[in-house]
Amino acid sequence: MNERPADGLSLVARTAQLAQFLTEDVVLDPGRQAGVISGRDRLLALASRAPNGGGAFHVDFVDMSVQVNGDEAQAHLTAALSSTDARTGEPNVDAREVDLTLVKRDDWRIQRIVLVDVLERPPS
Amino acid sequence: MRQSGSFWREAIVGRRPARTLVRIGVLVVLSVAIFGWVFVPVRTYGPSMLPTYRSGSFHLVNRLAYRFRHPARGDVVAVRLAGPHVVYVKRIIGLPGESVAFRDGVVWVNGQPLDESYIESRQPWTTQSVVLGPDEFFVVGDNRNMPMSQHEFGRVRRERVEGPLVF
Repeated sequence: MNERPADGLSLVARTAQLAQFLTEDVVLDPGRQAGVISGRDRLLALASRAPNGGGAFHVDFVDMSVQVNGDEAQAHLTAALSSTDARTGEPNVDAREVDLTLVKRDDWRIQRIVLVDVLERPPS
Repeated sequence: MRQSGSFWREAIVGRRPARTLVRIGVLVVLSVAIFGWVFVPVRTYGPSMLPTYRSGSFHLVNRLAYRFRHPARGDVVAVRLAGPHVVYVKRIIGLPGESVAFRDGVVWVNGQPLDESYIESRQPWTTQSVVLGPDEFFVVGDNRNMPMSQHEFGRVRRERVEGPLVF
């Protein structure tokens, strides 16, 4: 993910590839008292500009559990993100638990993404 | 005169190879069980537990300890962050039902300052007071000499506290 396409056409193709997994009204709740991000176009625009010192990052989805209820499904998984900082060469590893809400519209698509907060920081 | 081949064979597998193999199998199963579910190895990453634990150090988490006692103030524990293999390593400073706040770097619990002899130096962290729920603990790293904004800390539900570090 986040590999920088060589040209604009590649960027369009990559964006279309990711868009097929999301509903138009997808919502990302990053937790930690940050504001939610609504809309597929806005989410993809932010993802395409995600900084990583110029390098790509790799996302693995592990420990996944899914409950299906008709045309809706709830999934809980761990997203493990690994990358190499292009400036320092140091490996970066991070992981978060994620709750997904999926809906079936022609195909299963993600409607809501919630990053689970583990530690609730007290207000300053 | 015993042949050297049979001597080495007996030295390695014993006089009863079948029994030796069973013993090895039992040891392997016990090791997997102990280090996979009971004493789980973790490696710390980051500066938040300095000077107590340096980044990159290896430790064991006792996942059975809290089946026999409750988590206690001062325990350094593994907090499950994501899946069974990614944890925070933090120290418990607040127990269920208590109020916890930082005032100029000092922790106040139920209106009383907390004695933290393991802290070498501290920046003037200040937070509002929070009251912990019946199944919540307050955890924080030992490195208070870093900006509060860069330190992950706060209240955590009991179910995410995996166990204390034993080494």
